[in-house]
Amino acid sequence: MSTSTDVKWVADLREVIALRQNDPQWVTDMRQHHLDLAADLAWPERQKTPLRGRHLDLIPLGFSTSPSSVPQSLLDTVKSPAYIAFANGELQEVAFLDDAARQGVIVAPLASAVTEHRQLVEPLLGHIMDEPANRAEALNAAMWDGGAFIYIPADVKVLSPILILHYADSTRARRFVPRTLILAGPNSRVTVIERYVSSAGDEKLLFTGGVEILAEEGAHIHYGSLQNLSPNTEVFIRRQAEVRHDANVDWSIGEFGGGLTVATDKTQLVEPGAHSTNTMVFFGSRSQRKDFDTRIVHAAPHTNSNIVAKGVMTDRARSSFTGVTDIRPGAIQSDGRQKEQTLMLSDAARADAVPSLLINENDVYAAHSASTGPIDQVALFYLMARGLSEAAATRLFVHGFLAPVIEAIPLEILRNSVWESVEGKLAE
Amino acid sequence: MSTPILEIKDLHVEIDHKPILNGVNLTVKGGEIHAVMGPNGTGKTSLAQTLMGHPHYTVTQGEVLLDGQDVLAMKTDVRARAGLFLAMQYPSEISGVTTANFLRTAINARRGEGQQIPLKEFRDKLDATMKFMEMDPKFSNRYLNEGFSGGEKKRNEILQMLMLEPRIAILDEIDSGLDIDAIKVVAKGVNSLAGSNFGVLLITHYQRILSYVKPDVVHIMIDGRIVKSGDYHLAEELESRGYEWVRTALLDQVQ
Repeated sequence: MSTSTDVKWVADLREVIALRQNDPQWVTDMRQHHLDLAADLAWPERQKTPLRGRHLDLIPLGFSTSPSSVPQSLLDTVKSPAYIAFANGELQEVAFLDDAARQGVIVAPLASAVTEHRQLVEPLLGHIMDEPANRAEALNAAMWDGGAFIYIPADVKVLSPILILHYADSTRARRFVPRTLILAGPNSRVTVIERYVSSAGDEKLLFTGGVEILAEEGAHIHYGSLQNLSPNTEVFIRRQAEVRHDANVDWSIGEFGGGLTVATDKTQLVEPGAHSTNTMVFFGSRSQRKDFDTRIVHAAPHTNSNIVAKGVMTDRARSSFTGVTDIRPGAIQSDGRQKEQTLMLSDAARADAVPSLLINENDVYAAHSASTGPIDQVALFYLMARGLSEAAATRLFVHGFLAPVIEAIPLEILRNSVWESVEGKLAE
Repeated sequence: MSTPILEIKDLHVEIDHKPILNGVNLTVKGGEIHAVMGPNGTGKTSLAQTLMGHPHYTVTQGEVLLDGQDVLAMKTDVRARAGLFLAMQYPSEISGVTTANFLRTAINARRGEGQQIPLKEFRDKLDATMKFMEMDPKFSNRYLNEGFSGGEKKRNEILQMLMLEPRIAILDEIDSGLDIDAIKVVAKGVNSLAGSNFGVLLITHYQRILSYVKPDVVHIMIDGRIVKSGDYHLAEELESRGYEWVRTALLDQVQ
C-alpha cells in the first residue's frame, strides 16, 4: 500500500496531530498509532460496492481545515433544551439543562472530555469498538475532532433528547471526522440524536464517523442518526454498541445523503437479558452507492434482537444491505429477527439484500426475510384513477411503504426530520 | 357545469396482442344509467379499465370522448380530474396510507393549488358520507383497503365516489360478492348522486343490483362487443333465459 502519495498524506496528517496542542499525551499516542494503522490498512472491501473507481486516495486529507459556522437555519433545527453543535470539527454551541447537570449528566465535546473526564473516557474510547479493520476506521480513530462525550450516571433518566449536530463546509475542509462516545450508567435512560450535514461542493469531502455506545446494566438508550451529507461527500460510518445485563440499545438510523455510503453497525449483546433493535431507513437517488453491514451478536443467553431495514432506490442508485444475526454458542433462548425490504422506483436502480443468520446454539428462535421489488404499477393506476398525478401517486405509495418504520420512531423531532429527508429525495 | 357526455366509438382494444374489445359503441349522458351485462371473459372489465387508462391495455382503433375531449390522449389522472371515476372490481391495497389521507390528497389533486379543502370541511364531509354508507368511522384511519373484506372494499369504492363527485362513474362489478343488505347500501350511494350532472356505466354479471339501481338502458356484451341493447326488460329476459340464449340467438345476427 505504500506509494509516494500515501507517504505524503501520512506525513501531512502527522503534522495535524502534532498541532493539536490540547490533546493529552494518551490521546496523541492513540492517534499516532492509528495513523500508522491507517497507512497500512486498505479501504473497506465490500463485495457489491467496489471502491476502486472512487479515487479515495486522491482526496487531499492533509488539507488544513479552516473554521466555519453552522448556518442559522440548520442550527435552529437542533435548538432544544439539550444540544451540541460542531462546525468543521470545532465546537460551535452547547446548551444543557441545569437540573440534568446537577444530577451529574455530562454533555461535552469529546476533545475536551479526554482531559476533563479522563477516568471515564480513557477506558472506553476505542475499546467498545473493535480495533479498526480498514483505512476509514483507522482514520477516524487517528483524526477525529468534532463529536460529543455523553455520560448518564446510574439511575438518572434524561427526558429531553440530546441532539448532536455536525456540519462541514465543503469549501473549507476535505475531511470530516466526528466521533461520539455515549456511556449510560446502570438503569439510566437517554435518547441521543446525531445529525450529519455538509454543504455541497465541487471537491470531494471524506467523511469517516465513529459512534461508541456502552449501555450498563438495565440502561435504556435510544440512539438516532440522520445522515444528510452532500453528494460530494464519501461517507464511511462505523457504529458499535455493547449492551449489558437487561440493558437496551435501540438504533434508528436514516441514511439519505453522500455520494458513496459505507456503513457498519455492530451491536454486542454481552450479558443475559440484553436487547437491541436496529431500524434503518435509506433512500438512494441519482448515482448514489449505499452499502450497509448491520450485525447483532448474541453472546449471552436470553438476548433479543431485531433488525428492520426499509429502503427506496431510484434513478441509477444502488444499494446493498447485509444483515447478520450472529447467535454464539451458549446464547440459549435468544431471539434474533431480521426483515429487509427495498422498493425500486426505476428500472436502472439496483438493490441487494442479504440477510443471514449464524446460529451456533440449538435452543434459540431466529427468523429473517428480505424482499426487493419495483413499485406496484396496478396500485399506481388505482391511485391515479382518483386524480393523483404519477408523481403524487408515487409519493403516496413511498410514504405508505416507509410509514410503518418511520412512524415507529418514538421521537417526533427525529421522525419529522426523516420524513423531511424522504420528501427532499422525492422532490429531487 | 353542463351535462356530461361520454362517447365510445368503435373501440378496439388488445391485451398482450390479443384482441379483447372488437368495436364497442356506447354513449352515456348525465342523468342516465347504463348497465353492461354479459358472461365472464367477454370484455366488460377490459372496457372499464380501458376507459380509465389501465397500462396493460392497448387501444388499436376507435375513440373515446368526454364532452368532446379525447379521453384516450389523457393520462389516467387527467381523466379522473376531467370527471371520470372507476370503481374497481379488485381495488389495490395500499399499505401505510390511510383512507382519509388518500381521499384528502385525491380531493386536493382535483381542486388544484391554492384551493385545498379545509381540514374541517373535509372531515365533516367524510364523517357524513361514511355514516350514509353505514361504515364504521374507524375505516377512515385504516390503511387503504388493507385487510378489508370484499364487501368493505366495495363500500369503500362507493365512499370514494361520493367524496370525489365524478361526472361519469364506471362501476365494475360493484355488486360481486355482496349480500343483499350490502347491495342496498351500495345502490343507495349510487342513487344519491343521480341527476343530470351524473351518468353511470354499471358493469354487472347479475340482474340483482338492477332492482335497486334502475338502468335506463341495458347492453349485452359478448366477445368484445355490444350485441344487443334495450330497456330494463332486457335484463329480466336475460335473467330468465340465460347467456346461452344471447350467444345462440343474438351472436348470429350481428355476424
